[in-house]
Amino acid sequence: MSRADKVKETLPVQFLTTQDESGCACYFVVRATPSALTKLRAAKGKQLDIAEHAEILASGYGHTPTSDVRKEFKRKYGLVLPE
Amino acid sequence: MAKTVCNLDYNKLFPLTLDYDPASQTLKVYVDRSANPGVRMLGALNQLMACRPDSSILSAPFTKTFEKNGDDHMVFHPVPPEFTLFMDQEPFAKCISDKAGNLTISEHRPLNADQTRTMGTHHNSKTWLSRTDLSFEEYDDLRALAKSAITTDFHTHSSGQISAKGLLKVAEAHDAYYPIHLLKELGIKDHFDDSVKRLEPRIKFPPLEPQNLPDEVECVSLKALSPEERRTLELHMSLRTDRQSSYTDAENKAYCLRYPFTKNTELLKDSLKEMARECLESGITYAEISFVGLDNPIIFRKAHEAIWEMEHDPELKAFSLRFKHGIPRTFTQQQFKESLEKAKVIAQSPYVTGIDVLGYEINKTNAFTNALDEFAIWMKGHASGLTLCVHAGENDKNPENVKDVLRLVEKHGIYARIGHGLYGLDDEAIELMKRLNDDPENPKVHIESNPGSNIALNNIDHVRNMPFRRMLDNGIPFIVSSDSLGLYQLSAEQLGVSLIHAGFTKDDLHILRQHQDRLLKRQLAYAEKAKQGIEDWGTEKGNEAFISKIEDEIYQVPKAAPHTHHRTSDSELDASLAAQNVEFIRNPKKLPEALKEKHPITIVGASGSSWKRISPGHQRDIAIAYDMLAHAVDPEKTYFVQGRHKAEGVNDAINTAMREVERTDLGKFSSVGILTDPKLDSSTDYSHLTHMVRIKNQLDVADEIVNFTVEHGGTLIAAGGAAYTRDIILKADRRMEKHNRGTLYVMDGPVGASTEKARYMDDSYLFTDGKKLIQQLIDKKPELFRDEFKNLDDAGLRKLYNDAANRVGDRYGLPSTKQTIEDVQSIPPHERGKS
Repeated sequence: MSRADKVKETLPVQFLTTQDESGCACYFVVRATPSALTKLRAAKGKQLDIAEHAEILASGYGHTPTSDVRKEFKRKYGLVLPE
Repeated sequence: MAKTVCNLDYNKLFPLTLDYDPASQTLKVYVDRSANPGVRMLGALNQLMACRPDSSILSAPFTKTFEKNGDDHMVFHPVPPEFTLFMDQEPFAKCISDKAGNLTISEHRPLNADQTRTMGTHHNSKTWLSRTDLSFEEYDDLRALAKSAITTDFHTHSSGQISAKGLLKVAEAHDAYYPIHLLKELGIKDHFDDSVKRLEPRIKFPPLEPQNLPDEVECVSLKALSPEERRTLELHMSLRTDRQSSYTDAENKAYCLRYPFTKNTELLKDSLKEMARECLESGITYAEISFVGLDNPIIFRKAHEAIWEMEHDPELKAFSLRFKHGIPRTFTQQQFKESLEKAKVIAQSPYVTGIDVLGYEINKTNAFTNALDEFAIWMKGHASGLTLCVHAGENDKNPENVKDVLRLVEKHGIYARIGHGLYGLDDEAIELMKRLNDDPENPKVHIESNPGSNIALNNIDHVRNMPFRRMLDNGIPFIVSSDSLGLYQLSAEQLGVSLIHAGFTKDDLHILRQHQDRLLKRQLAYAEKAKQGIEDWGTEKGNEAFISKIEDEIYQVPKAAPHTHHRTSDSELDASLAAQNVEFIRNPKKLPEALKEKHPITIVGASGSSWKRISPGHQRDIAIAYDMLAHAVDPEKTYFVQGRHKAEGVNDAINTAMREVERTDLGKFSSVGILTDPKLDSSTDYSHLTHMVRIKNQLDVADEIVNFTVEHGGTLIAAGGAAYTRDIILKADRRMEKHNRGTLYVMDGPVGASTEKARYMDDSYLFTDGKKLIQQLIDKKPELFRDEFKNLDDAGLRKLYNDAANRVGDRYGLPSTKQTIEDVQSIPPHERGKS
């Protein structure tokens, strides 16, 4: 594992609730640098391209991940995503 | 007390009686019910009408109560001798009383047909068509300008332009007879003496006619009808103004009832003259009428004779009448070819300005662009001033239809007009239009907007949703027409009022006037030029020679083979479906055992292109809702009806959910498909169905689906969709209310019909996701649900939703990464390892 990968792995995982262009609820599980995180937080209520600011680990429709996604995160990263 | 009549509407169909008592300061408002206004319209009127001391919205309204002795009526109190009636936030009529209570009415603003139609359709008068952004003075200024803005009718039809009243007047003057079987459909019994009956040739009505009808039918003299019967006939020969209707209502009812007169060549000349009189009264001095059958030599002759006579009639010579040769867009290739050949002949007339491809827009324009291609080449070489008109974008079934016409125009450089263009004016279409109209003094393509008809036929719910602003902003030439002044009960002034409601400013009205005047000038010049090329035109001898020549040439055009409609017979259908284990239900009123005593849940909405328009997120929402539904209702008590038999769109969502229920041993649903095509495509897989019902006429699809659901007391659920779904929602809403049977749910969210209609419906009809749908349905029909879901609490509902969401997963794809951020929540590394 490269140093960069190690740093990336230590970045906290963020859970984003969003709305797509047609108004549908969506969620994104992302990893973002502190500066990118600041941008994401500042963008509340605004539209942006999440992929340009963070690494997307998972995404889906609805404000909560499906049980499959939750199980996978628990197994792979030991993370408990919101229900 | 003294009574004064004040018309609610321009058409004077719903007069109000204002009964004012100065002594008690009481005003009673009665609505005349002889035109049978619908309950919903009356309810809306009660809700919208207010009475204030003056025309300021800031003045406190007087108390309004309702009395139910005799006719229901509104009572306002205490009302001084000078008062203003309001409709919602707009003054409707200013009234001043004398000592006896007689009222003088000024500043009267009657309602146009758009307003009464939407009042009687939308729930809780949700969409009152008002311009609250204007002061009353500004509104009145604009109205005065709008009154005179429309002086032409470029888009109208031969059987619909004259009013029902005018048509009956002409028919009576000719002592015309009317088919008794049509009167019976209106509830008029055959009580007529044999002396007033006779056999008459049957006027054909292609959209509805079964085969092997007699050539003659029994008719009765119009004079034998009682005044009430005559009034009934008159009312039904136009589209009602107390509600929105559908295309099939216009076609199968109003037009069908008009045909015995409008297709009667004996009446044609006088009908055209009466129509001209009505147009002039309405402020219209020029009309281009689309006429299917103008290539019939008798009609061609009579139509010309009518114009010649009108040109010499001092009363009518201010009116110019022109024709377009009407070609139904559902003609076969051979029929199209024959019709276009005849068009080349009759287009020699200075009074024929072009062709119009018309009719119910259920097919794609490119189904006939090959035929038009050849005609356009001929136009370019032989008659470059002719205009190709095509009805396109009247509904949203085929969004490419407008562009297909524009591409044809670009290819050949001919003049064209798009009839309606309500849908399909996307960016690409606008760019094409701009290119085609780069010479503002000689634009190639116009849009013929028909707001009154679009509202009447349920193609749109509010004139604000028409693409006027888009056309104005992009300099697209457009004109405003009636689509059939009499049939829709419109007038130039009413159309002007529609434009005000659509948001027009004075400048916008001037721009419209410029487009209209420029086009009018061109069309009149075209006729004058064409006249010069005809020997002795204008003389009796020259005119007769011209007509005779055209008649000869029409007869020389080879006839297309008659179109044979292949319809799969019931027994063939039986056998084909049985091979796929699908049972054919011959009589939808007598259901097979498997369906008896069960509750139908009819699923309608998006499929094909309308499904593709829906975002993946909303597609998923629909799939989750239907998965929840299929898992929660009991297959022993319910079955599903699929609005169409196709396994795509919303049907695919419900079929997938039903399969999942069956796969997990939760039961097996019966599933009924509706066959809309006359011919069964036996190569199609129908294994997702258990039963199939066929409908008699493809045009009646909305009526038949709704009738089936209402008759069996079912539930109808609509999500997304296009024109058919709009009509299904409209008809289900009305029929369920009328019969007090059945339940309607409409999804608010996905692009398309359901969301458009949801805007104007009460919340109790709406759902935004599966949780809301299930909750609404459980509250209303708990008996349909499996035992474990009958008393579902919030947690249970959430679980049902989550399970459905898991089953649906990312079947409809992942969201795009362009998102509006709502919340950011950290899940820090220290969560690692937590159980």
